[in-house]
Amino acid sequence: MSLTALHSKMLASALGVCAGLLVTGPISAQQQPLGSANGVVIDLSVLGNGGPSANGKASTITGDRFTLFPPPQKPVSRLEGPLANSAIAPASPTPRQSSTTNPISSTTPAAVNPGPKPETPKPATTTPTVPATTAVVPPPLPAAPPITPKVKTHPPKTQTTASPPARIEADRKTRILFDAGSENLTDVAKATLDALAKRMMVDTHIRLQLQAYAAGTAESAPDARRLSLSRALKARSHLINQGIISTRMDVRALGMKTEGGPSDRVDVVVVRR
Amino acid sequence: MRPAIINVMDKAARRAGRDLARDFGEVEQLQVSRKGAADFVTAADRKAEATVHYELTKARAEFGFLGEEGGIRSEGDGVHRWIVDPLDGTTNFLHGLPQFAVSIALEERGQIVAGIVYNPLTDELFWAERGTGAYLNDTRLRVSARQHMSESLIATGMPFMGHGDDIRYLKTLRGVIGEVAGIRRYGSAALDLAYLAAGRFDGFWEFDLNIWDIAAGILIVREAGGFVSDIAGGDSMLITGEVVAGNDRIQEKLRKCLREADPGPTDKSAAS
Repeated sequence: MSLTALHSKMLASALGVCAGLLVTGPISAQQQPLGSANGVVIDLSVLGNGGPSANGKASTITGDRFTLFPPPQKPVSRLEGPLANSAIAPASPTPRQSSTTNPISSTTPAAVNPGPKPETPKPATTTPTVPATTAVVPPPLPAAPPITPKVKTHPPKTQTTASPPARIEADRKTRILFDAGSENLTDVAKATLDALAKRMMVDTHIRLQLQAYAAGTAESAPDARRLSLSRALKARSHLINQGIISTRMDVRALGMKTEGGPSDRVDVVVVRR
Repeated sequence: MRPAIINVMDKAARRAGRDLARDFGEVEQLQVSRKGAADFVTAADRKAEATVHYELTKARAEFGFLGEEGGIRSEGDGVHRWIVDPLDGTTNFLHGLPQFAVSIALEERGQIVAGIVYNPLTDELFWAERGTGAYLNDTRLRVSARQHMSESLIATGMPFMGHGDDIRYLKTLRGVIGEVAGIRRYGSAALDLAYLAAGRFDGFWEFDLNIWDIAAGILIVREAGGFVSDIAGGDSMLITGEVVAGNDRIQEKLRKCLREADPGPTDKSAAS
Protein backbone atom coordinates (compact mmCIF):
# COMPACT_ATOMS: atom_id res chain seq x y z
CA MET A 1 0.00 0.00 0.00
CA SER A 2 1.47 3.27 -0.98
CA LEU A 3 1.71 6.21 1.34
CA THR A 4 -0.86 8.12 -0.60
CA ALA A 5 -3.22 5.28 -0.44
CA LEU A 6 -2.64 4.87 3.27
CA HIS A 7 -3.37 8.50 3.87
CA SER A 8 -6.42 8.30 1.83
CA LYS A 9 -7.64 5.33 3.75
CA MET A 10 -7.00 6.98 7.09
CA LEU A 11 -8.75 10.13 6.03
CA ALA A 12 -11.66 8.13 4.73
CA SER A 13 -11.93 6.24 7.97
CA ALA A 14 -11.84 9.40 10.04
CA LEU A 15 -14.38 11.13 7.94
CA GLY A 16 -16.53 8.05 7.88
CA VAL A 17 -16.61 7.98 11.67
CA CYS A 18 -17.48 11.63 11.76
CA ALA A 19 -20.14 11.15 9.19
CA GLY A 20 -21.50 8.20 11.09
CA LEU A 21 -21.66 10.20 14.28
CA LEU A 22 -23.36 12.99 12.51
CA VAL A 23 -25.93 10.96 10.73
CA THR A 24 -26.68 8.57 13.51
CA GLY A 25 -27.11 11.39 15.96
CA PRO A 26 -30.35 13.07 16.64
CA ILE A 27 -30.30 15.27 13.63
CA SER A 28 -33.66 16.60 12.97
CA ALA A 29 -34.91 17.14 9.55
CA GLN A 30 -34.68 20.85 9.99
CA GLN A 31 -31.01 20.87 11.00
CA GLN A 32 -28.38 21.80 8.49
CA PRO A 33 -25.77 19.13 8.09
CA LEU A 34 -22.25 19.90 9.03
CA GLY A 35 -20.43 21.78 6.41
CA SER A 36 -23.42 22.90 4.55
CA ALA A 37 -23.40 26.13 6.45
CA ASN A 38 -19.91 26.79 5.26
CA GLY A 39 -20.75 26.08 1.70
CA VAL A 40 -18.04 23.49 1.37
CA VAL A 41 -18.74 20.11 -0.06
CA ILE A 42 -16.85 16.90 0.46
CA ASP A 43 -17.62 14.11 -1.85
CA LEU A 44 -16.70 10.90 -0.16
CA SER A 45 -17.04 9.04 -3.34
CA VAL A 46 -13.70 10.37 -4.35
CA LEU A 47 -12.16 8.75 -1.32
CA GLY A 48 -14.21 5.68 -1.73
CA ASN A 49 -12.81 5.16 -5.09
CA GLY A 50 -9.31 5.75 -3.89
CA GLY A 51 -8.42 2.22 -2.91
CA PRO A 52 -9.43 -0.90 -1.17
CA SER A 53 -11.00 -0.81 2.21
CA ALA A 54 -9.64 -2.32 5.37
CA ASN A 55 -11.21 -5.61 4.70
CA GLY A 56 -9.65 -5.71 1.34
CA LYS A 57 -12.75 -4.96 -0.54
CA ALA A 58 -13.29 -1.93 -2.66
CA SER A 59 -14.82 0.95 -0.84
CA THR A 60 -18.38 1.60 -1.75
CA ILE A 61 -19.18 4.99 -0.56
CA THR A 62 -20.34 6.13 -3.87
CA GLY A 63 -23.11 8.54 -3.79
CA ASP A 64 -22.58 9.57 -0.22
CA ARG A 65 -21.27 13.02 -0.25
CA PHE A 66 -20.12 15.00 2.65
CA THR A 67 -19.41 18.65 2.74
CA LEU A 68 -15.98 20.06 3.50
CA PHE A 69 -14.55 21.54 0.36
CA PRO A 70 -15.42 21.37 -3.28
CA PRO A 71 -13.81 18.54 -5.11
CA PRO A 72 -11.08 19.48 -7.49
CA GLN A 73 -12.85 17.71 -10.25
CA LYS A 74 -16.11 16.17 -10.76
CA PRO A 75 -16.07 12.89 -8.94
CA VAL A 76 -16.74 9.69 -10.67
CA SER A 77 -19.81 8.59 -8.96
CA ARG A 78 -22.81 6.67 -10.12
CA LEU A 79 -25.06 9.16 -8.47
CA GLU A 80 -23.45 11.96 -10.34
CA GLY A 81 -24.45 10.34 -13.54
CA PRO A 82 -27.45 11.15 -15.58
CA LEU A 83 -29.72 9.09 -13.44
CA ALA A 84 -28.78 10.98 -10.33
CA ASN A 85 -29.48 14.28 -11.96
CA SER A 86 -32.79 13.16 -13.15
CA ALA A 87 -35.81 12.47 -11.11
CA ILE A 88 -35.71 8.81 -11.98
CA ALA A 89 -34.54 6.37 -9.38
CA PRO A 90 -31.73 4.10 -10.49
CA ALA A 91 -32.79 0.67 -11.40
CA SER A 92 -30.11 -1.09 -9.37
CA PRO A 93 -28.19 1.24 -7.12
CA THR A 94 -24.97 0.18 -5.56
CA PRO A 95 -25.27 -1.44 -2.17
CA ARG A 96 -24.12 0.76 0.62
CA GLN A 97 -21.94 0.20 3.56
CA SER A 98 -23.27 0.90 6.97
CA SER A 99 -21.01 3.80 7.75
CA THR A 100 -21.79 5.64 4.58
CA THR A 101 -25.49 5.25 4.28
CA ASN A 102 -26.20 8.80 5.26
CA PRO A 103 -27.86 10.36 2.27
CA ILE A 104 -27.98 13.84 3.69
CA SER A 105 -26.86 16.29 1.11
CA SER A 106 -26.17 19.96 1.47
CA THR A 107 -27.62 20.51 -1.94
CA THR A 108 -30.94 19.32 -0.77
CA PRO A 109 -32.62 21.41 1.86
CA ALA A 110 -33.87 19.18 4.57
CA ALA A 111 -37.16 20.92 4.70
CA VAL A 112 -37.77 20.12 1.08
CA ASN A 113 -36.13 16.80 0.89
CA PRO A 114 -35.86 15.07 4.17
CA GLY A 115 -34.59 12.05 2.35
CA PRO A 116 -34.67 8.62 3.76
CA LYS A 117 -34.51 8.43 7.45
CA PRO A 118 -31.26 7.32 9.01
CA GLU A 119 -31.45 3.66 8.82
CA THR A 120 -29.73 0.75 10.27
CA PRO A 121 -27.34 -1.19 8.14
CA LYS A 122 -29.03 -3.26 5.61
CA PRO A 123 -27.89 -6.27 3.75
CA ALA A 124 -26.29 -5.66 0.46
CA THR A 125 -29.40 -6.79 -1.25
CA THR A 126 -31.41 -3.91 0.10
CA THR A 127 -32.57 -1.73 -2.69
CA PRO A 128 -32.98 1.92 -1.96
CA THR A 129 -35.84 3.51 -3.69
CA VAL A 130 -34.67 7.07 -4.01
CA PRO A 131 -31.22 8.39 -4.70
CA ALA A 132 -29.85 10.91 -2.30
CA THR A 133 -29.34 13.72 -4.73
CA THR A 134 -32.80 13.78 -6.12
CA ALA A 135 -34.94 16.53 -4.81
CA VAL A 136 -38.20 15.05 -5.86
CA VAL A 137 -38.76 12.71 -2.99
CA PRO A 138 -42.04 13.71 -1.54
CA PRO A 139 -42.20 14.33 2.14
CA PRO A 140 -43.75 11.57 4.14
CA LEU A 141 -47.42 11.67 3.75
CA PRO A 142 -49.42 12.54 6.77
CA ALA A 143 -51.51 9.84 8.19
CA ALA A 144 -54.22 9.22 5.69
CA PRO A 145 -57.63 10.04 6.97
CA PRO A 146 -59.92 7.09 7.17
CA ILE A 147 -61.69 6.53 3.93
CA THR A 148 -65.29 7.22 4.31
CA PRO A 149 -67.70 6.55 1.52
CA LYS A 150 -69.47 9.50 0.14
CA VAL A 151 -72.84 9.84 1.63
CA LYS A 152 -75.44 11.78 -0.19
CA THR A 153 -76.72 14.45 2.02
CA HIS A 154 -79.87 15.12 0.13
CA PRO A 155 -82.92 13.22 1.25
CA PRO A 156 -83.93 10.16 -0.74
CA LYS A 157 -86.18 10.78 -3.61
CA THR A 158 -89.78 10.23 -3.06
CA GLN A 159 -91.77 7.92 -5.24
CA THR A 160 -92.50 9.50 -8.53
CA THR A 161 -96.07 10.17 -9.22
CA ALA A 162 -95.77 10.36 -12.97
CA SER A 163 -97.48 7.60 -14.83
CA PRO A 164 -95.34 5.23 -16.87
CA PRO A 165 -94.78 6.56 -20.35
CA ALA A 166 -95.77 3.31 -21.97
CA ARG A 167 -99.32 3.57 -20.77
CA ILE A 168 -101.94 5.27 -22.78
CA GLU A 169 -102.79 8.54 -21.15
CA ALA A 170 -105.89 9.50 -22.98
CA ASP A 171 -108.09 8.29 -25.76
CA ARG A 172 -110.02 10.46 -28.10
CA LYS A 173 -112.06 9.23 -30.99
CA THR A 174 -112.70 10.91 -34.27
CA ARG A 175 -115.39 9.26 -36.35
CA ILE A 176 -115.18 8.96 -40.11
CA LEU A 177 -118.27 7.77 -41.95
CA PHE A 178 -118.37 5.83 -45.19
CA ASP A 179 -121.08 5.20 -47.70
CA ALA A 180 -122.62 1.76 -47.41
CA GLY A 181 -120.52 -0.86 -49.16
CA SER A 182 -117.86 1.69 -50.12
CA GLU A 183 -114.28 1.93 -49.02
CA ASN A 184 -113.70 5.35 -50.58
CA LEU A 185 -113.20 8.39 -48.41
CA THR A 186 -115.80 11.09 -48.64
CA ASP A 187 -114.81 14.74 -48.82
CA VAL A 188 -115.87 15.18 -45.23
CA ALA A 189 -113.75 12.21 -44.21
CA LYS A 190 -110.74 13.62 -46.05
CA ALA A 191 -111.14 16.98 -44.36
CA THR A 192 -111.35 15.28 -40.99
CA LEU A 193 -108.21 13.28 -41.70
CA ASP A 194 -106.40 16.36 -42.93
CA ALA A 195 -107.11 18.08 -39.65
CA LEU A 196 -105.82 15.04 -37.80
CA ALA A 197 -102.69 15.00 -39.90
CA LYS A 198 -101.99 18.65 -39.08
CA ARG A 199 -102.39 17.89 -35.43
CA MET A 200 -100.01 14.96 -35.66
CA MET A 201 -97.44 17.05 -37.43
CA VAL A 202 -97.45 19.49 -34.54
CA ASP A 203 -97.73 16.98 -31.71
CA THR A 204 -95.25 14.22 -32.34
CA HIS A 205 -96.21 12.32 -29.22
CA ILE A 206 -99.53 11.08 -30.46
CA ARG A 207 -100.29 8.12 -32.64
CA LEU A 208 -103.46 6.80 -34.16
CA GLN A 209 -105.40 3.61 -34.01
CA LEU A 210 -107.72 3.15 -36.94
CA GLN A 211 -110.64 1.00 -35.82
CA ALA A 212 -112.61 0.13 -38.91
CA TYR A 213 -116.12 -1.33 -39.19
CA ALA A 214 -118.48 -2.42 -41.92
CA ALA A 215 -122.06 -3.55 -42.04
CA GLY A 216 -122.81 -7.15 -42.81
CA THR A 217 -124.72 -10.23 -41.90
CA ALA A 218 -123.62 -13.45 -40.28
CA GLU A 219 -123.09 -14.92 -43.72
CA SER A 220 -121.14 -11.94 -44.99
CA ALA A 221 -118.98 -11.45 -41.92
CA PRO A 222 -115.75 -12.21 -43.81
CA ASP A 223 -116.67 -9.65 -46.44
CA ALA A 224 -117.43 -7.11 -43.75
CA ARG A 225 -114.03 -7.69 -42.23
CA ARG A 226 -112.31 -7.22 -45.54
CA LEU A 227 -114.27 -4.08 -46.26
CA SER A 228 -113.42 -2.70 -42.86
CA LEU A 229 -109.75 -3.42 -43.46
CA SER A 230 -109.91 -1.66 -46.80
CA ARG A 231 -111.49 1.37 -45.16
CA ALA A 232 -108.80 1.50 -42.51
CA LEU A 233 -106.10 1.19 -45.14
CA LYS A 234 -107.66 3.96 -47.17
CA ALA A 235 -107.65 6.25 -44.17
CA ARG A 236 -104.09 5.24 -43.39
CA SER A 237 -102.92 5.93 -46.92
CA HIS A 238 -104.55 9.34 -46.88
CA LEU A 239 -102.68 10.20 -43.71
CA ILE A 240 -99.42 8.89 -45.16
CA ASN A 241 -99.96 11.12 -48.16
CA GLN A 242 -100.33 14.01 -45.76
CA GLY A 243 -96.87 13.27 -44.39
CA ILE A 244 -97.64 11.09 -41.40
CA ILE A 245 -95.13 8.34 -40.90
CA SER A 246 -96.63 4.87 -41.19
CA THR A 247 -95.32 3.64 -37.87
CA ARG A 248 -97.51 6.12 -36.02
CA MET A 249 -100.67 4.36 -37.09
CA ASP A 250 -102.15 0.98 -36.23
CA VAL A 251 -104.91 -0.63 -38.20
CA ARG A 252 -107.71 -2.67 -36.62
CA ALA A 253 -110.25 -4.25 -38.92
CA LEU A 254 -113.17 -5.14 -36.69
CA GLY A 255 -115.80 -5.94 -39.31
CA MET A 256 -119.31 -6.15 -37.99
CA LYS A 257 -118.42 -5.67 -34.33
CA THR A 258 -119.57 -2.13 -34.33
CA GLU A 259 -120.45 -2.02 -30.62
CA GLY A 260 -123.04 0.63 -31.27
CA GLY A 261 -122.98 3.56 -33.63
CA PRO A 262 -123.12 3.48 -37.40
CA SER A 263 -121.84 0.35 -39.08
CA ASP A 264 -119.91 1.96 -41.90
CA ARG A 265 -117.27 3.93 -40.14
CA VAL A 266 -113.67 4.20 -39.03
CA ASP A 267 -112.99 5.43 -35.53
CA VAL A 268 -109.67 7.18 -35.32
CA VAL A 269 -108.46 6.86 -31.75
CA VAL A 270 -105.80 9.34 -30.75
CA VAL A 271 -103.35 7.75 -28.37
CA ARG A 272 -100.92 9.85 -26.44
CA ARG A 273 -97.87 8.22 -24.97
CA MET B 1 -87.41 -24.24 -61.69
CA ARG B 2 -88.97 -21.29 -59.99
CA PRO B 3 -92.26 -19.88 -61.11
CA ALA B 4 -92.00 -16.63 -63.04
CA ILE B 5 -93.87 -14.65 -60.44
CA ILE B 6 -91.40 -15.77 -57.78
CA ASN B 7 -88.54 -14.58 -59.95
CA VAL B 8 -90.15 -11.18 -60.19
CA MET B 9 -90.55 -11.00 -56.42
CA ASP B 10 -87.07 -12.40 -55.84
CA LYS B 11 -85.48 -9.73 -57.99
CA ALA B 12 -87.36 -6.93 -56.28
CA ALA B 13 -86.53 -8.26 -52.81
CA ARG B 14 -82.85 -8.69 -53.58
CA ARG B 15 -82.56 -5.21 -55.04
CA ALA B 16 -84.14 -3.72 -51.94
CA GLY B 17 -82.23 -6.07 -49.65
CA ARG B 18 -78.91 -5.04 -51.12
CA ASP B 19 -79.56 -1.43 -50.20
CA LEU B 20 -80.84 -2.41 -46.77
CA ALA B 21 -77.73 -4.45 -46.08
CA ARG B 22 -75.55 -1.51 -47.03
CA ASP B 23 -77.57 0.89 -44.92
CA PHE B 24 -77.52 -1.56 -42.04
CA GLY B 25 -73.76 -1.30 -41.96
CA GLU B 26 -74.05 2.42 -41.45
CA VAL B 27 -76.66 2.34 -38.72
CA GLU B 28 -74.09 1.74 -36.02
CA GLN B 29 -72.36 4.96 -37.00
CA LEU B 30 -75.55 6.82 -36.28
CA GLN B 31 -76.27 5.46 -32.83
CA VAL B 32 -74.94 8.59 -31.18
CA SER B 33 -77.99 10.43 -32.38
CA ARG B 34 -81.10 8.47 -31.69
CA LYS B 35 -83.31 10.71 -33.73
CA GLY B 36 -80.80 10.77 -36.52
CA ALA B 37 -80.66 7.00 -36.59
CA ALA B 38 -84.44 6.75 -36.58
CA ASP B 39 -84.69 9.16 -39.46
CA PHE B 40 -82.01 7.25 -41.29
CA VAL B 41 -83.90 3.98 -40.83
CA THR B 42 -87.11 5.57 -41.97
CA ALA B 43 -85.34 6.78 -45.08
CA ALA B 44 -83.90 3.29 -45.66
CA ASP B 45 -87.36 1.79 -45.19
CA ARG B 46 -88.92 4.14 -47.70
CA LYS B 47 -86.13 3.68 -50.17
CA ALA B 48 -86.52 -0.08 -49.97
CA GLU B 49 -90.24 0.18 -50.60
CA ALA B 50 -89.64 2.47 -53.54
CA THR B 51 -87.22 -0.08 -54.97
CA VAL B 52 -89.66 -2.93 -54.52
CA HIS B 53 -92.48 -0.87 -55.98
CA TYR B 54 -90.40 0.03 -58.99
CA GLU B 55 -89.33 -3.53 -59.69
CA LEU B 56 -92.76 -5.05 -59.19
CA THR B 57 -94.67 -2.51 -61.21
CA LYS B 58 -92.07 -2.72 -63.94
CA ALA B 59 -92.83 -6.41 -64.27
CA ARG B 60 -96.56 -6.31 -63.51
CA ALA B 61 -97.82 -2.83 -64.12
CA GLU B 62 -101.47 -3.79 -63.81
CA PHE B 63 -101.19 -5.08 -60.25
CA GLY B 64 -102.23 -3.00 -57.29
CA PHE B 65 -99.76 -2.17 -54.57
CA LEU B 66 -100.13 -1.95 -50.80
CA GLY B 67 -96.96 -1.07 -48.95
CA GLU B 68 -96.28 -0.62 -45.29
CA GLU B 69 -94.55 2.69 -45.79
CA GLY B 70 -96.51 4.25 -48.58
CA GLY B 71 -99.91 2.80 -47.95
CA ILE B 72 -102.00 2.12 -51.03
CA ARG B 73 -99.94 3.29 -53.96
CA SER B 74 -102.18 1.94 -56.66
CA GLU B 75 -105.45 0.08 -56.93
CA GLY B 76 -104.38 -1.84 -59.99
CA ASP B 77 -106.70 -4.18 -61.81
CA GLY B 78 -108.74 -4.92 -58.74
CA VAL B 79 -107.76 -8.58 -58.94
CA HIS B 80 -104.09 -8.66 -58.07
CA ARG B 81 -102.36 -6.75 -55.35
CA TRP B 82 -98.83 -6.73 -54.03
CA ILE B 83 -98.64 -6.56 -50.26
CA VAL B 84 -95.19 -5.39 -49.24
CA ASP B 85 -93.31 -4.83 -46.04
CA PRO B 86 -89.96 -3.51 -47.24
CA LEU B 87 -88.38 -3.77 -43.81
CA ASP B 88 -89.99 -6.14 -41.34
CA GLY B 89 -88.05 -5.79 -38.12
CA THR B 90 -87.48 -2.06 -38.26
CA THR B 91 -86.59 -1.81 -34.59
CA ASN B 92 -83.96 -4.51 -35.01
CA PHE B 93 -82.54 -2.62 -37.94
CA LEU B 94 -82.48 0.59 -35.94
CA HIS B 95 -80.58 -1.09 -33.12
CA GLY B 96 -78.11 -2.91 -35.31
CA LEU B 97 -79.63 -6.33 -34.74
CA PRO B 98 -79.31 -8.52 -37.83
CA GLN B 99 -82.85 -9.85 -37.85
CA PHE B 100 -84.99 -8.18 -40.47
CA ALA B 101 -86.42 -9.05 -43.83
CA VAL B 102 -88.19 -7.91 -46.95
CA SER B 103 -91.64 -9.45 -47.23
CA ILE B 104 -93.62 -9.51 -50.46
CA ALA B 105 -96.91 -11.26 -51.05
CA LEU B 106 -99.18 -11.41 -54.04
CA GLU B 107 -102.88 -11.37 -53.37
CA GLU B 108 -105.29 -12.54 -56.05
CA ARG B 109 -108.98 -12.07 -55.43
CA GLY B 110 -108.48 -11.96 -51.72
CA GLN B 111 -106.23 -15.02 -51.61
CA ILE B 112 -102.49 -14.98 -51.13
CA VAL B 113 -101.03 -16.91 -54.04
CA ALA B 114 -97.32 -16.21 -53.73
CA GLY B 115 -95.01 -14.94 -51.06
CA ILE B 116 -91.36 -14.41 -50.31
CA VAL B 117 -89.46 -13.45 -47.17
CA TYR B 118 -85.89 -12.42 -47.81
CA ASN B 119 -83.21 -11.87 -45.19
CA PRO B 120 -80.53 -9.83 -46.97
CA LEU B 121 -77.89 -10.41 -44.30
CA THR B 122 -78.04 -14.20 -44.47
CA ASP B 123 -79.12 -14.26 -48.11
CA GLU B 124 -81.95 -16.60 -47.20
CA LEU B 125 -84.90 -16.41 -49.55
CA PHE B 126 -87.96 -18.18 -48.24
CA TRP B 127 -90.61 -18.43 -50.89
CA ALA B 128 -93.78 -20.24 -51.70
CA GLU B 129 -96.36 -20.34 -54.43
CA ARG B 130 -99.78 -21.61 -53.69
CA GLY B 131 -99.94 -25.31 -54.47
CA THR B 132 -96.26 -25.76 -55.28
CA GLY B 133 -94.65 -25.94 -51.86
CA ALA B 134 -92.31 -23.76 -49.86
CA TYR B 135 -88.60 -23.38 -50.38
CA LEU B 136 -85.53 -21.88 -48.77
CA ASN B 137 -83.53 -20.75 -51.78
CA ASP B 138 -83.79 -23.99 -53.75
CA THR B 139 -84.39 -26.40 -50.89
CA ARG B 140 -87.84 -27.67 -50.14
CA LEU B 141 -89.10 -26.70 -46.72
CA ARG B 142 -91.03 -28.77 -44.26
CA VAL B 143 -92.27 -27.81 -40.84
CA SER B 144 -90.90 -29.66 -37.84
CA ALA B 145 -92.24 -33.01 -36.72
CA ARG B 146 -92.33 -32.36 -33.00
CA GLN B 147 -95.53 -33.54 -31.45
CA HIS B 148 -95.45 -32.37 -27.88
CA MET B 149 -95.65 -28.89 -26.49
CA SER B 150 -93.08 -29.80 -23.88
CA GLU B 151 -90.41 -30.20 -26.55
CA SER B 152 -91.47 -27.31 -28.73
CA LEU B 153 -89.72 -24.03 -29.33
CA ILE B 154 -92.28 -21.30 -29.81
CA ALA B 155 -91.74 -17.89 -31.35
CA THR B 156 -93.84 -14.90 -30.47
CA GLY B 157 -94.09 -11.18 -30.73
CA MET B 158 -95.15 -8.93 -27.93
CA PRO B 159 -96.76 -5.53 -27.62
CA PHE B 160 -94.65 -2.46 -27.16
CA MET B 161 -95.18 1.11 -26.18
CA GLY B 162 -98.38 2.40 -27.66
CA HIS B 163 -98.97 -0.71 -29.72
CA GLY B 164 -101.03 -3.74 -28.86
CA ASP B 165 -102.87 -5.04 -25.85
CA ASP B 166 -100.24 -5.93 -23.32
CA ILE B 167 -102.68 -7.25 -20.73
CA ARG B 168 -104.15 -9.69 -23.17
CA TYR B 169 -100.75 -10.72 -24.39
CA LEU B 170 -99.44 -11.38 -20.91
CA LYS B 171 -102.36 -13.68 -20.22
CA THR B 172 -101.46 -15.78 -23.21
CA LEU B 173 -97.78 -15.71 -22.40
CA ARG B 174 -98.53 -16.98 -18.93
CA GLY B 175 -100.61 -19.77 -20.42
CA VAL B 176 -97.89 -20.90 -22.80
CA ILE B 177 -94.73 -20.30 -20.87
CA GLY B 178 -95.04 -23.29 -18.59
CA GLU B 179 -96.01 -25.70 -21.34
CA VAL B 180 -93.16 -25.41 -23.82
CA ALA B 181 -89.44 -25.95 -24.05
CA GLY B 182 -88.74 -22.33 -24.88
CA ILE B 183 -90.10 -19.08 -26.19
CA ARG B 184 -88.25 -16.75 -28.52
CA ARG B 185 -89.01 -13.18 -29.44
CA TYR B 186 -86.94 -12.06 -32.43
CA GLY B 187 -88.84 -9.00 -33.57
CA SER B 188 -89.71 -9.92 -37.16
CA ALA B 189 -92.98 -11.77 -37.66
CA ALA B 190 -92.16 -12.47 -41.30
CA LEU B 191 -88.94 -14.23 -40.35
CA ASP B 192 -90.64 -16.00 -37.44
CA LEU B 193 -93.11 -17.55 -39.83
CA ALA B 194 -90.40 -18.38 -42.34
CA TYR B 195 -88.38 -20.07 -39.62
CA LEU B 196 -91.44 -22.00 -38.59
CA ALA B 197 -91.79 -23.22 -42.16
CA ALA B 198 -88.15 -24.29 -42.06
CA GLY B 199 -88.70 -26.32 -38.91
CA ARG B 200 -86.60 -24.02 -36.74
CA PHE B 201 -89.60 -23.11 -34.63
CA ASP B 202 -92.49 -25.40 -33.83
CA GLY B 203 -95.08 -22.74 -33.21
CA PHE B 204 -95.73 -19.01 -33.33
CA TRP B 205 -98.31 -16.62 -32.03
CA GLU B 206 -98.77 -12.89 -32.06
CA PHE B 207 -101.58 -10.36 -32.02
CA ASP B 208 -102.09 -6.97 -33.60
CA LEU B 209 -100.07 -7.70 -36.69
CA ASN B 210 -100.57 -5.96 -39.96
CA ILE B 211 -101.37 -7.61 -43.24
CA TRP B 212 -97.96 -6.79 -44.72
CA ASP B 213 -96.22 -8.43 -41.76
CA ILE B 214 -97.77 -11.84 -42.30
CA ALA B 215 -99.25 -12.16 -45.78
CA ALA B 216 -96.19 -13.88 -47.25
CA GLY B 217 -95.23 -15.80 -44.14
CA ILE B 218 -98.62 -17.42 -43.72
CA LEU B 219 -98.50 -18.85 -47.23
CA ILE B 220 -94.95 -20.10 -46.73
CA VAL B 221 -95.95 -21.89 -43.52
CA ARG B 222 -98.96 -23.50 -45.13
CA GLU B 223 -97.00 -24.58 -48.18
CA ALA B 224 -94.43 -26.13 -45.86
CA GLY B 225 -97.12 -28.27 -44.28
CA GLY B 226 -97.93 -26.06 -41.32
CA PHE B 227 -101.22 -24.69 -40.08
CA VAL B 228 -102.19 -21.10 -39.43
CA SER B 229 -105.32 -19.63 -37.90
CA ASP B 230 -106.46 -16.85 -35.68
CA ILE B 231 -106.86 -17.57 -32.00
CA ALA B 232 -110.47 -18.66 -32.49
CA GLY B 233 -109.49 -21.15 -35.15
CA GLY B 234 -110.75 -19.03 -38.02
CA ASP B 235 -109.05 -17.75 -41.11
CA SER B 236 -109.14 -14.01 -40.58
CA MET B 237 -105.49 -13.53 -39.68
CA LEU B 238 -104.85 -10.97 -42.38
CA ILE B 239 -107.71 -8.84 -41.15
CA THR B 240 -107.63 -9.29 -37.40
CA GLY B 241 -103.89 -9.48 -37.14
CA GLU B 242 -104.08 -12.53 -34.87
CA VAL B 243 -101.83 -15.39 -35.86
CA VAL B 244 -101.41 -18.81 -34.29
CA ALA B 245 -99.18 -21.03 -36.39
CA GLY B 246 -97.43 -24.33 -35.97
CA ASN B 247 -96.78 -27.73 -37.38
CA ASP B 248 -99.67 -30.10 -37.78
CA ARG B 249 -99.51 -31.26 -34.15
CA ILE B 250 -98.46 -28.17 -32.30
CA GLN B 251 -100.66 -25.55 -33.92
CA GLU B 252 -103.92 -26.78 -32.47
CA LYS B 253 -102.37 -27.44 -29.06
CA LEU B 254 -100.90 -23.98 -29.01
CA ARG B 255 -104.16 -22.39 -30.11
CA LYS B 256 -106.10 -24.17 -27.38
CA CYS B 257 -103.53 -23.18 -24.84
CA LEU B 258 -103.86 -19.56 -25.89
CA ARG B 259 -107.62 -19.75 -25.96
CA GLU B 260 -107.76 -21.13 -22.45
CA ALA B 261 -105.48 -18.41 -21.22
CA ASP B 262 -107.51 -15.70 -22.92
CA PRO B 263 -111.03 -16.50 -24.10
CA GLY B 264 -110.79 -13.16 -25.90
CA PRO B 265 -113.30 -11.14 -27.80
CA THR B 266 -113.06 -13.15 -30.99
CA ASP B 267 -115.38 -16.08 -31.58
CA LYS B 268 -115.02 -18.59 -34.31
CA SER B 269 -118.40 -17.94 -35.84
CA ALA B 270 -117.41 -14.40 -36.64
CA ALA B 271 -114.16 -15.43 -38.19
CA SER B 272 -114.04 -16.36 -41.78
